[in-house]
Formats: sequence, structure tokens, C-alpha cells
Amino acid sequence: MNIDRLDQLGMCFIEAHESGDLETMAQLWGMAAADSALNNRLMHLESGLMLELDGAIGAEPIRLTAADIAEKLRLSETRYNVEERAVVDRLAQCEETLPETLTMRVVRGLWEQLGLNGAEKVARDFLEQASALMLRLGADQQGALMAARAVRRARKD
Amino acid sequence: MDIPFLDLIRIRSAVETFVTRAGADWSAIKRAGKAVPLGDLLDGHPLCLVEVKNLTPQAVALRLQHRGIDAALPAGNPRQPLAGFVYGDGLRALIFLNRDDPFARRRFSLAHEIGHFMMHGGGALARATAQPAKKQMEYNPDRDDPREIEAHAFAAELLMPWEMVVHEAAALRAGTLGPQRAILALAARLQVSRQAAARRLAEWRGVD
Repeated sequence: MNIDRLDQLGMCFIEAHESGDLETMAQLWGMAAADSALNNRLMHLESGLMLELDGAIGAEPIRLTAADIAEKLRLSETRYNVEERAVVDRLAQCEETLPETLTMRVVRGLWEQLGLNGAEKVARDFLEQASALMLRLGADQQGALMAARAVRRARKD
Repeated sequence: MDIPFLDLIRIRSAVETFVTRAGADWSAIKRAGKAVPLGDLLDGHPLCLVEVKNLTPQAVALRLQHRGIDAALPAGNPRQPLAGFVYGDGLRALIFLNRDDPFARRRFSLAHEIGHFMMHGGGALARATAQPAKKQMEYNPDRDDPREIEAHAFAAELLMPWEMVVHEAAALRAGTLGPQRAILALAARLQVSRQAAARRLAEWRGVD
């Protein structure tokens, strides 16, 4: 199932929540039983609804630190030489929070701040791991917010 | 040949936004007349470039899975060769490029994917677009999808704005430069493929 179709069905799911249309919701869950991508999407939206009901939306967003990303680098399958491993070790001690808008320029700034030299490969991997993690967290938050918005609208009706 | 359905004002505005958000002066870059410093501009954005050998939807999916992302990829053959691919949420993105492609083609693919991020990147979870390498006629996109047309136009406007094409284009029009020399000169100066340069020159209608 492609992304546009998933978006479309996700919106149907939210609209069904808004209108209390249980028939449509049942149909969507039926479709999801045969499609893992759709199932993931609906589960995601549903978890957002649960968070809203539990009052968890609006909590502080998770902040990533350089040490978090260093841990990811250690766990990855990438092979680093001695110098590169030393850079990863140094990053693992850095609890500095990464900005939400993380660019290669910011990564180079961090390198400079920590006195790290070279290790361009580590810098690229660092940005990739951090970007991927932020995408994951962003998607979770986005799904939760979409669902929360639907719940709020449904409560108004 | 004119490209149909394009809102060039919107596309040029997206190009300028991309350049200025990276802290650069678009007018100055165009005046300099040299190849657009794409890497420097990219470094100022929350965009991560990932170059992969034998890029396919399957390879992208695997890479994303290793990063904990279960992405819904475009329909089609998962082993189809790709030139580029963008996965993002509107705030940030991973841009995948086929490492096997020549430098000029990778530059164009990168600019193309940046175009998707700037103009189509606001999906709730993901927006992914792929360009089959075998059909990878640069600046000759799949005309069935308006997003592909827009992304190609974005790439052309970013890498070959008319102000930087005018020298070769005017000489070609005046007959003081032959077509092949004009194409080669433009391709070398702006670091684009001959194909992309030829198409841009063919589209020139004078500075607008």
C-alpha cells in the first residue's frame, strides 16, 4: 500500500472517530488485518488516542543527546578504525542536548566544541543516526497529535 | 520545449528559500556564475545525505529498518534501480543517492530530492519519491506525477538559473557558439550533465 493511500485511510480513521462511525472503523480494522502497513498506521493513531485519554500529550518532548547517538553508533554494524572509535567514545560522554534542527553544520560545530578532529565518516553516520531517530520520534508525536486533534473535535460535537 | 502545469514563481521562491535558509545570498551566487555550492547549502539544512551502492526501494527499506523506521515505500518493483529517494517528515529528511551514478547526475538527483523536501515534504509520516535509473532522463521526468515535474524544475532552477545560463544561451542564439560547445561549456561551468545542460539551453526563451 503506498503512502498516499495510507494517509487517506488514516484520515478516514480519524474522521470515523470524530463522527463515531463504528462501521467504518470496523471496516478499516478489517482491511488492516490483511495489510501490515495499514495496521501499523492505525495502531499508531490509536496509541495517540490513548495518550490523549491518559493526558500524556503536551508532555516535554524527548530530547536527544550526543551520547544517545553515540550509543546507536556503537550498536551499529559499521566498522570504525581506532581513531574513529575514540571519537565515538568521546561523544558517548557528551550529554549535550541536540537541537531539533540538526544540520551537518551543527554536527561540525559539535566536533569543534569537543575538539574532535577528522572522523568525517563518524560525523556523517552521527547525522544519519540522529536524523533517523528524530524522524521516528517525530512520526510518533505526529500520529499522537493527529489522533488527539480528532478526539478534541469529537468531544466538541 | 515548455514544461506544462508548472508554477514557476512558487518553484523559484522555494529555491530562494532553500538558499537563504542555508545562510547564503542567492543573488550573489547567481552573479558569481560558478557552479552552485550544493554541498555547502545542504550542510545548512536538516537534511542528511546517504550515498548507497545499487540503490533500490528494497535497499532503502533495509537501511531505514536498521535505523528503526518501518517505512511504507512507493508501489512497484522493490528491486528497481533508483537515482534518488527522500524520506522525511517536513522538518527533516534523509536523502538517498545512488553512489554508482556519475557526479553530475548525483548533483541533479540531490537537487531533485531537495525539491521534494522543500515543496512536498510535509506528509504526516513520510513522503517518498523515486526515479528509476534506467529511465533517468535528467530533466525529462515522469510526466504522470506533477510532483516529479516540480522537483525536476526545482533542480533546474537551483543548478541552472536563467541568469547563469544566459551567457551560453545568448551566444548560441547569436550563432557565435555552436550547440556542442555551448552544451559543454555550460555543463562544465555549472557541474551538470550534458543532457541537463542541453535541455536547459533548448528551453531558453530569453531572460524573463
